[in-house]
Amino acid sequence: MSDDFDKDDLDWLRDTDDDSDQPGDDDKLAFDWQGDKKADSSGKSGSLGVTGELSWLQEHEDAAGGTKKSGDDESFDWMTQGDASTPQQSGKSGVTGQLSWLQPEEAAKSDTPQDEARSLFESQLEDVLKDEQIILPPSRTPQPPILASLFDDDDSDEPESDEAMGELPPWMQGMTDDLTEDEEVDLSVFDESAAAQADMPDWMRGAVAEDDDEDEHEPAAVTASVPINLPDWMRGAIAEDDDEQSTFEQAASNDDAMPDWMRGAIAEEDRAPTAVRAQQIDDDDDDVVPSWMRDATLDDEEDEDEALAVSASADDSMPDWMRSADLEPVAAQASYDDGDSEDDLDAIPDWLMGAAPAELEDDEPDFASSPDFDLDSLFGDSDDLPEPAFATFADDENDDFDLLGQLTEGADDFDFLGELSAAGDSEDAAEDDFAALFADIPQSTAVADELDFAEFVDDLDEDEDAQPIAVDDFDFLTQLNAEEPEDDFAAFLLDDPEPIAATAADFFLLDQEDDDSAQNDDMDIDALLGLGNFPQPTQAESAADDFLSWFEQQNQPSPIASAAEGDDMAWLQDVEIGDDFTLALDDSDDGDLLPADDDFLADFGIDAPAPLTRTKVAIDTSFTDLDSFLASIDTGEFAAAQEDDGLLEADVDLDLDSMFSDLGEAGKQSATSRPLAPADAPDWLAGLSVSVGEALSAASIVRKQKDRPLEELPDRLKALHERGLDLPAAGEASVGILPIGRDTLPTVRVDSSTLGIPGAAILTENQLTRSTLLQSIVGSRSEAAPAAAPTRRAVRLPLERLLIVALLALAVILPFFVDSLQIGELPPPLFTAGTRQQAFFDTVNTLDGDYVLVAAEYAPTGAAELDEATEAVLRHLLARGLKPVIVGGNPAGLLHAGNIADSIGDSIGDPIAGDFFQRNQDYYVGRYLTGETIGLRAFAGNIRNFVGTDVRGDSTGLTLNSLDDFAAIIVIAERADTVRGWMEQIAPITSTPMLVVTGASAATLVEPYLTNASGLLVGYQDAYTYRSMLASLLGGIIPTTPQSIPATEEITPESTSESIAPTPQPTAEITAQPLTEIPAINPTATEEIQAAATSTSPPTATEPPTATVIPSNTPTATATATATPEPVQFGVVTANQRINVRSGPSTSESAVTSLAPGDRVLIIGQNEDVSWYQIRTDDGTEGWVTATLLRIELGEAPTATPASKLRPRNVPRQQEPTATPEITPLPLPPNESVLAEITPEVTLPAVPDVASLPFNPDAAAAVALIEDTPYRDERWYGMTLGIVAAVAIIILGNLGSLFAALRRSLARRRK
Amino acid sequence: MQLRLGAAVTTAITIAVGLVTVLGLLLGDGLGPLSQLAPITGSITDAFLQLVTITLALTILIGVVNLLSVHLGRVFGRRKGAVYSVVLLLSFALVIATYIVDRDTSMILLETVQISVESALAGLLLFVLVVGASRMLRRRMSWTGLWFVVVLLIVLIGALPLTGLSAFADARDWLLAVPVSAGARGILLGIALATIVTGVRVLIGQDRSYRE
Repeated sequence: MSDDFDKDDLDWLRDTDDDSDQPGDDDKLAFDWQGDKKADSSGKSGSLGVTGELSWLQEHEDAAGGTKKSGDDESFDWMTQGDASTPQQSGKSGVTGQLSWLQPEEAAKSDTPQDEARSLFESQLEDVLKDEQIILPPSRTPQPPILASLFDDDDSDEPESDEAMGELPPWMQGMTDDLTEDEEVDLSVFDESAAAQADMPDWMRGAVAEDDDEDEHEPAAVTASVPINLPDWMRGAIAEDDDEQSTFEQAASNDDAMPDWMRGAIAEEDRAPTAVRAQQIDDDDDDVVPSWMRDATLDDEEDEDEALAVSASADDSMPDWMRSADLEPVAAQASYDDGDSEDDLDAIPDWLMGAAPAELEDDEPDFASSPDFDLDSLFGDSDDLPEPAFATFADDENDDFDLLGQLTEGADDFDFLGELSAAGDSEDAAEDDFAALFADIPQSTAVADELDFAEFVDDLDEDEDAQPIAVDDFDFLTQLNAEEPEDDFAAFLLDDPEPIAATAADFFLLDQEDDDSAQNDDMDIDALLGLGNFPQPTQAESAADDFLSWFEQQNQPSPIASAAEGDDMAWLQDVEIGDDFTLALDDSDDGDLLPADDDFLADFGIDAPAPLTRTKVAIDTSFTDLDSFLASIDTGEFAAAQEDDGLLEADVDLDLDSMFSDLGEAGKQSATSRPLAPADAPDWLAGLSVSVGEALSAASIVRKQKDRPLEELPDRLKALHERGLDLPAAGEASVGILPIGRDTLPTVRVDSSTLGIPGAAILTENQLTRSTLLQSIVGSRSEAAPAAAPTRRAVRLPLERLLIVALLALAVILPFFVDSLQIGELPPPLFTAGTRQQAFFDTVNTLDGDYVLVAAEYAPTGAAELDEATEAVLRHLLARGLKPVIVGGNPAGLLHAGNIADSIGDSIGDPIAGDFFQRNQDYYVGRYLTGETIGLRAFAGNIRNFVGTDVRGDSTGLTLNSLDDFAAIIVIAERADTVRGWMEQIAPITSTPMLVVTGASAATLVEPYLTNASGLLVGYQDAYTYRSMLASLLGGIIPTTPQSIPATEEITPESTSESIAPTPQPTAEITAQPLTEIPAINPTATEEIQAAATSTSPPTATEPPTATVIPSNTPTATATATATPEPVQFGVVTANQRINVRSGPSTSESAVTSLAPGDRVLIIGQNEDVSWYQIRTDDGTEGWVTATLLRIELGEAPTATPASKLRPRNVPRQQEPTATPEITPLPLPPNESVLAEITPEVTLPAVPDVASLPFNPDAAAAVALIEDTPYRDERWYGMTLGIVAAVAIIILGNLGSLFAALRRSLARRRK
Repeated sequence: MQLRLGAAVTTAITIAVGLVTVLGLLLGDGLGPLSQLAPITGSITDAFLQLVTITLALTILIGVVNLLSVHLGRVFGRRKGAVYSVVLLLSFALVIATYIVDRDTSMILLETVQISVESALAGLLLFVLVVGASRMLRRRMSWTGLWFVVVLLIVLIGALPLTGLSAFADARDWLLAVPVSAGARGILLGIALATIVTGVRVLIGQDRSYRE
């Protein structure tokens, strides 16, 4: 709240009529809505209205509240003119409920000619009605606020109250005296001041007579006399325990009305303020605001309160109108009451934080300073009132009262009500009753802990013998309707037929005639509908001149009697109103009555409607409810006459919807910007000149934004958008505050988007800024944007873009078809020793175990890059006889990896015997891992369940219990975060080696997590090399060797992208090393290979378009094999001094020899972690050298010497080589592929491997037969040329921009 | 001051579960007497984690139901884009049907439609990125933009498998190894710190976002 608000700024607001001499009055402002906060410690905000969607629009109101807090003692003089005190002013807030500060301004116009015209009009109306045989009750004189004023403890009211005492009933005068003098109003004042008043309504007398001094908290007895005088809905609550039901008829003669404020409390979220305003509508003689305008502030509220309405509707016995009552904002706001504790405030959603009322600000400094970005920070600040508009979407739990539940920390649905009632001095916090609804009523502070509805009735009861009413939660609602099975509004209206008859007349007249709020209180329909000018008994006749008695006096049929007969509306049929109910409305001959209203409208920037003409309004007496009643009215000429002027729609079926809608249209058409604040208003108020309503409500703003997908919006904005969908169309806003079932009463629509009309609200510049910010968050365009004629943009062909796209596409595609465009070098056939890639290959090549966990953690978007590596790794694993167990956190990726594994088996499947590799036998496709990192941890703790069934739900038969049961874990991930998850959640809890395959884009980010990894493959390039190495081992595909690089060229390991394999010398005689480690192939496999070898298309390594020279193996009868002269690794000593060659891979081993710097030795092996290399010197000495002292180079094996077996293998050997293969290289011309003929005795091509070939013979043979991925090289060349093209495009494009900028710069300098 | 029972309960449950989970993850052998608690807390932790995964898995089903309801609403409401909703619903039905009838056919759909289309869409990024990079300096000429373009070109050229570009390759390697890696580690450190802070806030009840 604005504590720093300068109270002096409000001097101009002081009530000039405030002649109060009470010191306590000075610190009060004549804000009608202030009474809520003042008496109730809850500090509940007051009114909600048109700005219900944007409650932050109430900022100005709150600012005024802050002023009040700061001790400003002045009232707004321009606001509180006339005898109508502040409560009375606020009674008009049916229109300006959100802008109650405006009401005084409206009241200031009370002495305008409009009033005179209205008086004249009223008198003429009576004449007309008399002529038309319409008998109206006696016109009333302005009535004092009575109860409304009681509940507003604004002491500034007291002068007016005192002044109005003369108009108050005697029994009320004493009451008001007492109440106005007390800071905290207590119902006990009824005892002291009003009990003896004979003219007090009976039902009120009962309250006065009740002795509640001793124990106000005990349920009071209900006497038989109370129901007599209470309205039906009230009687129903009491009658349950009342045997003397027959007294209802007696009650008909008395005022059976419930006070307006009470209905307002029930019906509206801002209860007391609205109620007070409702009364003021009736009491203010100077009220120049048309009644239809009063409803403007009511729109947009209905949606906000649906949650409560839904909840309330859960009670089947609840009256319909009560179900529609909007209560939620009450709870939302009232929940501030108990905001003493931080816990309470923590429970309040963020969006509410910024709306903390001033009363809480000091207690909760963090409350308003929440750094979280949310709508409250957007729209609200400490000055803002609670934002009911965001109330429902802010809660995510979708319970009816989950928002309330949040506010009340899990209390029952209506616990918050009890808490509200317990605010202040109450200690009975658990009491859940209806009292919360009255929490805004000032005196509720004094009686808050027991002021439930029924108890209140008890208090009014003077008969102590009656049985107490059990009040629990909303049971009273059930009781309310105990006597009214047909709990509809029509039945409710039976108690007071007058409003129905009067509504039509007053409605057309737009009369602002005051009425007796104490009398005209049935649902306060007049205030809610803005029709609150029902002719009512005068104050002097208030005790007896209620409607029913009026009917009796007029010899009209009694509504009560009709109700008793089961026909609620039958009594109206007998009313002597004739067949034609004709009203004379401003006939030109009868005087100009409406111009006064025109002037009034003009004040609000609205073009006044054309003068109303005499209109016949025919009443069809067959209606059964108000809706049908209104529909039955034949507007006839009236409607037609108003068709053109836009005030009323020429709709034969006159209803409130269309009428008010068109009223809005009329106002919209003539809307002009005119500040509502008077000239002497302070700057901050003078700046309030922008209308707002549905058009600028937060929900509508979000709803209208279209250029940002809804899916991209935060959840809250999505919810707000959903709410916006429920809003009425632009320019219309439904009145949602009516406590009446909508099926009973037509929805009143008023324009809320036009400046100057009641629906308009005022935005400060700050609020406008926030509104704009919200629009920018949601998007930049609005549906409601000026619907200017769509400008047709000239279609301009994006030649530049098309050119770039075409160039890139050609660069990628052409290498597939044009050899000359295959530039660059293919990836190296071998990984550089010592690199992570080499370690990856070696780790897989030396795995010892049965199962390998393969995490296929990539989506289809990464398939193009990672599929190659996945397939190569799976091939390698399968060839080695290992069984991959594939899992994945991406469902599509998991299925895709399973398909890749299937394809490996399918490619070598036998049409008869089936696939060589079978799912759930040779490989497994496990389950989808949910939960990402958490899911990984759960997977690690429950391996068996996750791998027990496969992705199809079939049993895998695996009984793995631990990650350690896997020989290795290979993570193939598209994103670095996925790798991080595996490395953080899995790697620390297992000793199983981790291997990572990832894309080029994620490689850098993955790097930090590879400390525990045993190897890494990156992108397509490494996959290519891996495949080449695997092919070399399996002998299926011989890696290509670029010819352009001489074999003797020394290649540095750092230049991996340019690693060049030595070109084999076709003419050199190479003796292949003995294949001591090459396993024999079983006959079947041998036959397959033999068949392939002897076919006309033996396995060749045709690698177009590069010139591939492949020495062929010459088939010999002696079972020799032709070995491909594979490059081998050499180590060059990089140390500056001699190094030792040890007998084992450890410094503790003895040195067998030493090497000088620069010596070149053959690498024949390495240890597990590649920290030591086994070398062979030129003299044949073998030993171990630490890897850090050697630089690995590729070269050609000088001699074929047996390679030692470095590690034990578990692969069974079926057959040892029986013969040493003889290599007979054939001189082959370059650029020509040669057939490789393999003798039956030799199963695999000899590979000068640095390690053994620990393959499963059958599997290796099978994998070796798999055809390689087609167009591997073409793809690589396409990528290369594509990069070249991209570089060229980027350079050219930016150079052009650079030159253009330079030219402009030079041009500017010249100028 | 009134006791917010619901808030207290939810907060207490959250903190308790969090502490047990942390203990279950931290405790192990070598912690002396505390190690005796390891099996117990470990089991409880596993149970909690299982609950989380099950719950998350359930959300997938909810998502499927929501997807269907939304698109059915669009179709029957004849709202804008209803045609696409029809395609989606038919595709959904087709996949379900083919999976029931023949799994292999379903996999064919996956490979030929989803995988292919998604891969192609990912490939289109090339064109978008290149167009954007070529116009980088057109929008605004600045030193940072110029530097960005230069680095981009170095990395791209360094990735080319062409001879004679070893200087670019070395520069690329350096860029990736030093500045890029340093930045990446910094980001990861920030993530780690934020994770720790968030965890601690939850454990001490300061952060109760779970109640929103």
